[in-house]
Amino acid sequence: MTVRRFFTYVAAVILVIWTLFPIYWLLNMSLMFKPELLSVPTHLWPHEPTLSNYTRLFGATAMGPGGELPPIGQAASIRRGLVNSAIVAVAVTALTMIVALPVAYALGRLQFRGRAALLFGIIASRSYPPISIVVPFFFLYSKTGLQGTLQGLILIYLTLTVPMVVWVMTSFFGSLPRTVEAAARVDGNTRFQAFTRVILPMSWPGISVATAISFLICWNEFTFSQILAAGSTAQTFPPALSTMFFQVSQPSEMAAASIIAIIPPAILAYLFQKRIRSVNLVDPL
Amino acid sequence: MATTATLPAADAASSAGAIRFEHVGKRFEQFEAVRDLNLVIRDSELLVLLGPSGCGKTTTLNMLAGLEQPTSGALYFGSQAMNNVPPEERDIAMVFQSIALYPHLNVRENIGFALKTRGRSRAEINERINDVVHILDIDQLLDRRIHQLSGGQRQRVAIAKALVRRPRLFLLDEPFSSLDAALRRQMRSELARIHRDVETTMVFVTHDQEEAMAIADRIAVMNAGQIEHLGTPLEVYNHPRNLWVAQFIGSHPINVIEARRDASAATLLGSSGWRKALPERLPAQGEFLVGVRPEHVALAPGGQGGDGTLLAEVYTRQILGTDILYELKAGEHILRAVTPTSQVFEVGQPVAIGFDWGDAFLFDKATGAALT
Amino acid sequence: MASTAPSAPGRWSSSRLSEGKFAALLALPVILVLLAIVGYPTLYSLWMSLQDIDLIFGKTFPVGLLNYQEALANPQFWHATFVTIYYTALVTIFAVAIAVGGALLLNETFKGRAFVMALVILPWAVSLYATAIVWKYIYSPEWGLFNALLLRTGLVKDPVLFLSEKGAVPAMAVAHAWQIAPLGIYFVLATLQIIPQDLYKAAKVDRLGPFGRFRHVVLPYIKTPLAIVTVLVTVEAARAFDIIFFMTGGGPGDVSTTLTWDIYRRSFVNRDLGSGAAVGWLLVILTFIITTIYFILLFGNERRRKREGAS
Repeated sequence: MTVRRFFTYVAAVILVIWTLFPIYWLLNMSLMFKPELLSVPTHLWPHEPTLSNYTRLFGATAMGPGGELPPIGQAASIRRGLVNSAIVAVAVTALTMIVALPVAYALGRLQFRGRAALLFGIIASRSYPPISIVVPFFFLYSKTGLQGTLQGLILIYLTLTVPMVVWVMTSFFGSLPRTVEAAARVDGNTRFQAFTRVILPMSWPGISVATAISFLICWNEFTFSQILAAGSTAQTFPPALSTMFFQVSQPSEMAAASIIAIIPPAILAYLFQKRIRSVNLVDPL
Repeated sequence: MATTATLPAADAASSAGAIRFEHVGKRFEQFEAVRDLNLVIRDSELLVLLGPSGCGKTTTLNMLAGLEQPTSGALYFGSQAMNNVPPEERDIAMVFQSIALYPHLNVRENIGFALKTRGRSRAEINERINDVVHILDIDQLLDRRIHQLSGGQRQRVAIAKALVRRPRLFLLDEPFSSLDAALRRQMRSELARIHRDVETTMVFVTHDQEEAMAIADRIAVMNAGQIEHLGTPLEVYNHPRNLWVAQFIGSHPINVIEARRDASAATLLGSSGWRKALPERLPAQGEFLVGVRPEHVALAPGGQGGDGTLLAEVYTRQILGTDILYELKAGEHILRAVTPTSQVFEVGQPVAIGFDWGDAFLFDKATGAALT
Repeated sequence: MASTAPSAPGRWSSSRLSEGKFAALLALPVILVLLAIVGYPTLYSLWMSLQDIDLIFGKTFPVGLLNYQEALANPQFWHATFVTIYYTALVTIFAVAIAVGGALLLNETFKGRAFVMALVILPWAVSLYATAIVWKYIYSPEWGLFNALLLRTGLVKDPVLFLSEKGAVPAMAVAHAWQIAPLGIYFVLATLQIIPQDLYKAAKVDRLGPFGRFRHVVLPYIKTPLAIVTVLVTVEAARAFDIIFFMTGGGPGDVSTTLTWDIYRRSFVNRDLGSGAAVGWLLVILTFIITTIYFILLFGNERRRKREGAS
């Protein structure tokens, strides 16, 4: 038994290291000045830690080992990208909930003809390759003037969030006790009121996860924004980052920016990890 | 629970007229859950729908609630046809097996939910809540969340939630089946008392015949989508309409004995050589079946049996507390008997088995119908 | 009577709707939205794939199946198809292995289990593009973690080029598996936790060793979930784009050019949208096939569970 326990702990340590070391390395890089980063071999932890890579992202100057460092060149687009990402994520999430919750309820709790077909449609939309769907959108947007607009991004982001939220909430609604509607109906509610007055308030745990996931999808989306909005005033944070990544070699600053990109999703994941486990993301049926 | 508070009777206008099922059927695709059901539920009675799972009792209840629509026939509340009236427009309250309380509301909000839905004033809601929580002795629980309650407390809240409505009709779907035995007994007597006080029509679904006997004014014994027997608990117990009902009702499985009449006596259990005088007035002819409840089987020490007894041997013995259940072996036949604990036999001991024709049920061998 | 009057005025009339009609009403918004934002562009791209599109003048010329013929005759397309399958297979193997291992570990009881459980979901929250950046830096010959460790321990003299001709695809697959495995861990773990404890006890009584227990107790339970995870990961890997964009740009040469990168190159580098749409369609067909398998697995799973639940 102790041998088994020993191996369990070893495996647990390996799993933790495997999960964390990439993030740790990014953090390590983001806390170094460039000369230290370029030393061979690279230090495994920052010997002279600095937050200057973060402050310079937002337009501050900083004192480095070789004199004053200017703000990074993309500070303005980074800031605008963060704001755009937040706007798009909030708008898309709100729209998604309005559209997706009713159908998820129907799929999760009602028996009707065409249910299988609709489920298939949802799953097919969910596995649609983004790069395939962005091609017609690119052409349509270039003709209608939606190219490089927040509205355009919001519209195409729905193709990602709606199927996902329907998916998650179908699972959640399906897991509620079977007699809830019966009780609500007998209490004097119509079918629709049973949904709005009883099921929805009961489903707050599931809805909060779905909201978090929808937000996460928007915040993390790269392909659509890169192709439909890169360089425009509507570009979100990820394409702003990609510009920075490919323009000049500034790995420490880039690492700091990436950490900023990771922080909101990481916080959400931490807050919701218990609920994510109870809401089945892989198999909602 | 010594409170003597009583509830006001149900809203006067809503309690008029019996509930009638007329040739009601309910079919789910291939499965016929209820077949040609004809049933009148009398005003303010407590009717129990009793039967094994899949017998159609819950479907019948759901049709009363409006949660299912009959696929044939008609359902009336008084003179009103109800087939297509949705549940929210029927004046009913329902208590569920799974105790469907809303987890996001506290006890007070749960109890008042249906009243709020129906737009009652806050003052009236509070007054009514105070009435019912007093009756059910849950005054202290009002501000608790549902998950903070024990099983018995939840069931009380569920009943309070139904009672507070003062509905025309009360539906209870195996409400006590998730409670432990002691609590179940206590809730039964509470329900019987509540029914006496509020005088509202109640329909109670259960598969537990003991529970049905304990609380019912009348029992409808259901099997395979049909009512096998409708009657008071004593009628159902003492005069089962057929073999199936006789076998379903009773704490211990009834003895079914094959018999053949010749002149004034009957040969019982074929090869066992058991002959017993059969009074002329009894309707049995030719081959028939005899049902004898174990509690009506008389046992005497071996050799002491009178005429018409059968010699057998005690095969197993279960001491049940107030009485003892024996399995008795006569040749290849096994019979069951229940005796008071004052009459003790040892396993392996020879005994004489007897019964009184007055306690026995006679059934047609082919149809199982009671012979009268 | 007024207080309990049925159907108070103003109440929505859906109360008399059948369940099927009510469901249709609820499903309508999402059906319309999906038709508008998925169905229409899909059909539009089908039309585009039959055109030669001049983006500068905004003109289109119908060319029939020429775009498809060109793609299918082009060895680059078949190379990209092969790379896609290779990459997908690697990601799937890595991710499923991590998922099963992680789940079996987290199914044990040990101190700090809750902490580890909360931690392992983190990579899932990291976007694919950020994953690509992170791992590009890990592999970097100049400031990468792996080279820092290898050089420090003296295992190598010169930095190793991980994203080389041979290493690029497996290196990306590892990064992708890191990101996607947590979902699999949670899913497999959820399944493991429904295995009745008594079954383990019975296996012990029957003197099954750890492998016997895995084979006869665990495997029968996780077979279907495992298939589901496998197919899900397969779809995710086949449609990966961000990771290639940041880590290799399809290189070196075109060793890591997947179909997604091929579509990107055709559409937005060569500005040949008709050709991009055509290959885009071919990729959709590929994922559609995998999705169909996925759906059959899920739907079969649901029906089986309902059957078991009913009995």
